Amino acid sequence: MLPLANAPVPEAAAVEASPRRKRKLGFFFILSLAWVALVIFLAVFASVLPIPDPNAQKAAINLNPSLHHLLGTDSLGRDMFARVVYAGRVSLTVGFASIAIGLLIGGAMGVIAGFYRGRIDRVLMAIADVMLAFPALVFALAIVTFLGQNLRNVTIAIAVISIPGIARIVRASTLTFAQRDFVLAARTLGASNRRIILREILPNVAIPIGAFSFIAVALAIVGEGGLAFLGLSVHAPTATWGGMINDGRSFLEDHPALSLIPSAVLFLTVLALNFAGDALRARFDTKDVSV
Amino acid sequence: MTDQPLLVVEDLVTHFRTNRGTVRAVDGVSFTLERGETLGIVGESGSGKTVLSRSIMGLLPPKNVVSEGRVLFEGRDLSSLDAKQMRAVWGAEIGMVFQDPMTSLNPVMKIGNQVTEGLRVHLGMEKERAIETAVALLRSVGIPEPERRMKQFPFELSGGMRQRVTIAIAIACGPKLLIADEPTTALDVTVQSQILNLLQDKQRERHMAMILVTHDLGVVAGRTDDIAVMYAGKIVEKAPTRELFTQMRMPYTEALIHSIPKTDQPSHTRLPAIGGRPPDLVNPPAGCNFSPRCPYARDNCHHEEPPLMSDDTVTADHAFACWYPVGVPVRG
Amino acid sequence: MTTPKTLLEVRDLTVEFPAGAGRKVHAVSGVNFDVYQGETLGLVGESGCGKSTTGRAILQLPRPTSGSIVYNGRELTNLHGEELRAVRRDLQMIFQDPISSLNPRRRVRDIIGEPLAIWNVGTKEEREDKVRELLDAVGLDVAAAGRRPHEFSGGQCQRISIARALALDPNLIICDEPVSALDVSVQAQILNLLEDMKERYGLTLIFVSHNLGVVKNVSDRVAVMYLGKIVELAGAEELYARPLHHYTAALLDSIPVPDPTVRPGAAPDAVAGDPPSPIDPPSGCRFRTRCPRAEPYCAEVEPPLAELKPGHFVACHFPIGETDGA
Repeated sequence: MLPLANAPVPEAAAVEASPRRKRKLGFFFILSLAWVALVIFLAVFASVLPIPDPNAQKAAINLNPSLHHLLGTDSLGRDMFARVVYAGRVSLTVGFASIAIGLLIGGAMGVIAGFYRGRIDRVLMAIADVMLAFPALVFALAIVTFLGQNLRNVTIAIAVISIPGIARIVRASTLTFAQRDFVLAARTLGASNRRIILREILPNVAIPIGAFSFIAVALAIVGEGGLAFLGLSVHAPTATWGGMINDGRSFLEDHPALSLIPSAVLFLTVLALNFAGDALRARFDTKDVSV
Repeated sequence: MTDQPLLVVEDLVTHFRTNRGTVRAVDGVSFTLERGETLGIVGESGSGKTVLSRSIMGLLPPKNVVSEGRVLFEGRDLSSLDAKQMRAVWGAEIGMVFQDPMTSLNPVMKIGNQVTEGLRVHLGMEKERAIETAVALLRSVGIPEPERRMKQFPFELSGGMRQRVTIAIAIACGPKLLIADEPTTALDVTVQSQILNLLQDKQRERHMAMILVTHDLGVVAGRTDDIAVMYAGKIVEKAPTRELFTQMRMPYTEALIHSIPKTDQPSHTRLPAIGGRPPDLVNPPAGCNFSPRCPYARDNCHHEEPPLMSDDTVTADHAFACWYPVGVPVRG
Repeated sequence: MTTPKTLLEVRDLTVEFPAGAGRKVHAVSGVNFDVYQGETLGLVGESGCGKSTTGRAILQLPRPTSGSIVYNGRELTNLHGEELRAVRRDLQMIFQDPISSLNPRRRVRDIIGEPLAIWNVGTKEEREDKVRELLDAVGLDVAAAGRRPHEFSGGQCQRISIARALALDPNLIICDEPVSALDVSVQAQILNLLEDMKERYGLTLIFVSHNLGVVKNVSDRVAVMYLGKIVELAGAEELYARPLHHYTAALLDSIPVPDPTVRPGAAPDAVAGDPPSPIDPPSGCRFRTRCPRAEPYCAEVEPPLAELKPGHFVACHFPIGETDGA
């Protein structure tokens, strides 16, 4: 009666090209990445680039910018541009390394808690809560005072502080994916828990967490800046942005640039990282929803 | 009052501007609804039926939307009204029932306040009278112990009860038109039939006109005067309900009706499926939108778009958009 | 005619979930049924009746609170670890939500090949061949292999799910509302595909759905569930033509029929109200609170599922068409 009954299924067979165009990340995203890339580039290659020694003192103190000293000199006659660049080394190392450690430990805690639930979840989250409740500054102070004021210990301090927050966020993300049917499907196929975590959960959790880690790095850099401002980061004369802001404090009225330049660089770097993280997150969120 | 139709929709167009291009969600829809009449709008997901009902109501966000055409409600062009004037229409003259009663009810407001709100705002009732009216309304939509329910919050009610509450709210101010958008899709089948019966009773009792938007032809089959079938943003066939089922002309309507598994067919009956999937509304196919999936399509179907037309084999109220309608011998 | 081989025996299956404050959700309460080799058994009922939980409990996901599930002579509820994992090769599942059931980060080739990779079936080339064969079987182009799920429509995603479920040549597939998220036109394609696959691969199906029309179309026998119990079980034609339970009759009356000559609401509100909560189900017969035929006796004694006619089981003290005999 109906010719439709035997009609071929033309389109189920032919998968047409996806009409979806990738969402553009926008101009500001590129600008943000460019800034972060520039800061990283200068920090990495500072010693081979024609940049003066950041700790070399000259008689000419508190100079205004000139061709010789791009950003002038500070109260001890050190080149401000060189100090800002070298300070970037400390800030970026602490920022990225601490969050890498935080992701490794906090991420593992979060995935395990979110995947297995039950008792192990309660124990791990209790640990995270205790860590969150402990005043971060006091903790950092304790680590740096007892273990010594160097790059490694500052990194460890900030890493430990970042763990509970990362664990919570990773756990929440894991929970949403662990309840999806594809995890159940993998189970019915006989996949082991390890395989499910590695193949089904991690690739999904990695994307929002990757985007979030930009913001975490920004927070870690601010944290390092705070510690340095309080004189708790690496020892002088090693330049750090926070330390430079602090050094310039006494000259705020006459030479505000001494504090403002490192502040601006810190601000722009943190802003760029936040912006890039937000843009990435927004992009992958929509991708997931519009599936 | 007058003999003009209650609702006239003329060439309504709603396009959304997206990153991907313009989505032609509603693409030139016209129809007329008389007082007390019921119209079923049927379509699959992405056919534009929900966007159409929201466009009629003026409920779409103004951003990135292209709207054209006119919606005349008792002769007034709704699209020319501002937000304040529209608020006087919503609830008072046009009532709405949505798919998910949990989202259309305010979760932190007691049922009683939600029902009396419209009565007090639109009809200017005193508090005492509004409460009395609300209790009577809730009772009339089949809610047991309405006095007690007035003091409860939406989450304390079952899905069916919540939908009864939204119906009570929608009809509270005696609207002349009720738009119900998939009112029973979230409900179980035994509750669904209760709610559909309730809507039908209220529509008759109050002589309201009703637009019932649904994906399920079974929902509208025995309950509407006319049915409009939508496909890819357009009405492709509109006919009196009985005639649509017995003398459908548009191949899509035919396919839709026949692909539903029916309980009076023997088990393992092979279903006539429509191949493929609905078109991408950003790049609709040339000619008839259904032509790529249509078993009867010929060359010109892929180039020329058929208008909504009628012929002498059907009644005057019956229109279809097809060059080679089913059940009609091809002429020439 | 030879008696069909029993593939699966479900006895006294009970699944309870904690509902907080020491209360329990009685999702499935003492369900019994058999599934014969090569048949399709439909499980139909409204939301919260325990049909999906029953289907999943057969796969031990979740593990039943009590009861026994014997598959091919093996008791599944006692199996653990490797033994259970091995049995799962034979029992597969297709889910309702085509989007949720496919990992958005993986390509179709990996999704369909995953079961083969888990079990190390064949060489890499052999697995790729198998994936191509499966794609072809479910009506998808081989070019689909390199794409990710979001590039497909709901119906196509469901085809991918079916291909994945078929990869290990299973015996029994539990279809959990496989077409509920699809439009009618696509639904018909998938139902036809399931019938074809059943034929081609010699499958046995348990088909869980709330849609009575769909269940009738695919099933040989149908079990109707209400609040965690099977209230009626019979051959599909028999059940739809001569229901014995008042709930089955009410369900059949409530279906919106796509036929304008059928006046809806012929039996207006035959079943009033909503189903009660599975946290605190009624005593005796669980349907009695909504049943037009209920008597005080129904609240006291729970009716057992009894074979009233050959192959037609019903759990009711006063089944339809029986003169009062209690």
